[in-house]
Amino acid sequence: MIKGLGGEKTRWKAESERLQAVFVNLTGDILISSGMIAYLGAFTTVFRSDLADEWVKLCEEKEIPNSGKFSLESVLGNAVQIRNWGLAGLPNDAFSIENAIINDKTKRWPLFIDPQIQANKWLKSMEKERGLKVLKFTDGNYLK
Amino acid sequence: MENVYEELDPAIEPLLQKQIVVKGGSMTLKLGDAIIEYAKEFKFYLTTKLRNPHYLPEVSTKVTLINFMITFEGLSDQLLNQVVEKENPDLQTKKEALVIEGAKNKNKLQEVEDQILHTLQTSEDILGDAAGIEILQNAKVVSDDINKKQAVAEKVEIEIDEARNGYKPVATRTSGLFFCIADLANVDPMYQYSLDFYKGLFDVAILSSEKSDDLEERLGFLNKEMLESLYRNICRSLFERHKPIFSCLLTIKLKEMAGTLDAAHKKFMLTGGVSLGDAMPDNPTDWVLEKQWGELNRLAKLKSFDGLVEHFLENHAGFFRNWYDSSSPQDFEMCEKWQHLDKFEHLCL
Repeated sequence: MIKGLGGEKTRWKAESERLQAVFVNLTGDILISSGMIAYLGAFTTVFRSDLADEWVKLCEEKEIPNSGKFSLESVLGNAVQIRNWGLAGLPNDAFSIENAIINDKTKRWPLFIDPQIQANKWLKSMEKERGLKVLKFTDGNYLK
Repeated sequence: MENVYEELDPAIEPLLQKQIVVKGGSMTLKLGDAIIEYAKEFKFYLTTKLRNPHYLPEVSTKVTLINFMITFEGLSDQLLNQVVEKENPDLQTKKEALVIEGAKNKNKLQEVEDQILHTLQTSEDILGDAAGIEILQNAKVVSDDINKKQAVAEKVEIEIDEARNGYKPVATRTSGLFFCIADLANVDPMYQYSLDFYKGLFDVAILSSEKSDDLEERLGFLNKEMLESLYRNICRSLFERHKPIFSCLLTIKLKEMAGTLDAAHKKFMLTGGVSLGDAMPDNPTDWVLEKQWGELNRLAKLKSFDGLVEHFLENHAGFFRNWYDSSSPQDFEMCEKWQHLDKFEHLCL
């Protein structure tokens, strides 16, 4: 039986080490994620990642542990969820996925800048089942 | 709420601020004159079609702005997926399957772990508990199996990424071309092309271009077909006088992306350079206007035009005069000194 569990031992050990590392880095990673969600939604990918890099540097200066190279997708992303978004029509580039994560995690209501109507389509098909209602400010009685 | 502009109706203020009142276990929200019940699952999305909206801080603090505008990198990524999907459907399905399987395996591993821990905890006499031991054995087999699968999956994933990278040049190039047609809106606001239309064109190009087993060659066919069909389709909707502008836009973009166009040359072509009041030799001729003479002197400062002024001073009566008087200067044979220039640089000259 001890032999039988031997394989588990190495795996669990590795896993616990990994978690330990992630746990330490969590402080910085979540700090940067929160900043990104709160402030960087309006910017383009390049600008976002430049700023995130700066933040990583700042974290290092202040000795806040973090995983070094920041990526919103690897900290807060969930592969299955991302795939489901993709099925609902979310464009599958890194930028859109980042946007979707911001949308998912933010506490304020999202306002999409969406000239190519990509977000619009995605939201409509994703929320169809939950009874999405589409309104315009120009609909006279939309408050009802 | 779709198609909002830069100002949001103050009537939805309470909703934006989430002024929710909890009364007797139920949540309510005052909207307009009515007090309505608020469901926890409620979600509110706003979208705008504006390209570059400016939202006042009052608005920005109440909503999370998310920029979904298509970018060069984003579009390249999307087009890459599109071309891989069409060219190599197996890869794409494989990748999809991998994501699902990966998630499933993770769950299963979790289950197995729970089972092991549960058995260890509840069994009173672990050594005598035959059923317990069997569960542990099984658990081990399952987790070994999953680990093996995971290793295979990782290998396949690397393969897929490699194959995808092969198509990258086409995706980047096509993505760049899209911004050419987006720029046409600056020429005349009537020229609006949607992303869907563009992707449709790309689809058709993928299907109808010549096939080849050699990736390099196939990429060439793809690029050619896309460019041709783009030009045909866009020109159909352009005024005659705008067609040369469009060709020029495409050419400059392609040259820029291929790295064969010097930014300084392009700037010179468009503006003739900016005079900084530098001293220059006197104009030796009466047929070159002062303005042209200034331009010529500025051009001489750019890369690959070294010694232009001196050469002109020596040859203005000969080669340059003949070229100037030629009725078809584009076909005129260049003198030896300037033959190394490419076409765009000839144009500058």
